Amino acid sequence: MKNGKVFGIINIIDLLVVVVVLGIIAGIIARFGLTSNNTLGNACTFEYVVKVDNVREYTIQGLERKGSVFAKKTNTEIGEIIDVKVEPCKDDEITFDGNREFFDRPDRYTAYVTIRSNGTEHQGAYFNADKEETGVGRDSNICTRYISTNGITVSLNVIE
Amino acid sequence: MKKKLTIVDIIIIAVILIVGVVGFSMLSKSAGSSTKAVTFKVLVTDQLPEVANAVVASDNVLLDTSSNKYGKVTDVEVRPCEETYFDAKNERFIKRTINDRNDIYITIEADAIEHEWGYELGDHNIRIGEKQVVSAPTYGVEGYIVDILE
Repeated sequence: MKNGKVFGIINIIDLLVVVVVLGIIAGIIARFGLTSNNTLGNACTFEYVVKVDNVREYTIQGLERKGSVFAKKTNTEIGEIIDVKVEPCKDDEITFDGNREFFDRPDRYTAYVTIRSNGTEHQGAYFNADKEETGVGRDSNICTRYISTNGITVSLNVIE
Repeated sequence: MKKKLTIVDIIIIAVILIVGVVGFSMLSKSAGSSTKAVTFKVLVTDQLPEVANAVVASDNVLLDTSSNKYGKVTDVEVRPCEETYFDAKNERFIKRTINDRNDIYITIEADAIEHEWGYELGDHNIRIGEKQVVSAPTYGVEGYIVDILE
């Protein structure tokens, strides 16, 4: 330190101010994520099917309105519902003779929701625009303009 | 007294300007949203008849406690509450009505912030499947949003 200046160039107080300002900028970048969507890998389009099980008619009606799908926390657009297949909900129960069998449950449905997403591929894993990994067996939220529900991803196909 | 700007002063001024521009652009984006009256239906299940009788059309109801968001009840429909159980002997599900219990369908109109991704009401979003509190001076119930009428 020379004449109260670090390396004879900058005042110690000025240096502290610069460090604090740089810290604030780093904090803002970390909080609001100014990074690109494609930092995880190669851009690709994929379709995945989410099984939404044991839901009421209202949920089916909401899903059938289709439209864009958004990330639950950030509201980033992550895809679009392109198809909804509905079938009666099958519930497993123990029968009188002790067997476990599946029976149609009244007023409950199972929906297979196909979502097309522009995301990225990185080391064999697929990520949506919110950088969330998507794959068979993973839980998946479906939030559109009208509905919020969730299910399990049962298939994933890469389109391009 | 004359003082020259140092390089540090210039850096600080530049940073403040950049933060200001970025902040303004981010706020401008959220300002693009607008307030709109939205009508939605809430299902409150398994309630006593006294509760069903308490909810009346034209009630002003509190919908979000943290932000004091209110709405107006425009319609109330009361139906018998049903439950489903598995009849193991006959190997089928059976529906039956529960005595003295009702399902209440409450239609509410409220001013919400409209975004591309949906409607925001205080701390939560108006979407089918979301929980919704409906509170008035004489009652308070919680149900799920089952329809959005646009």
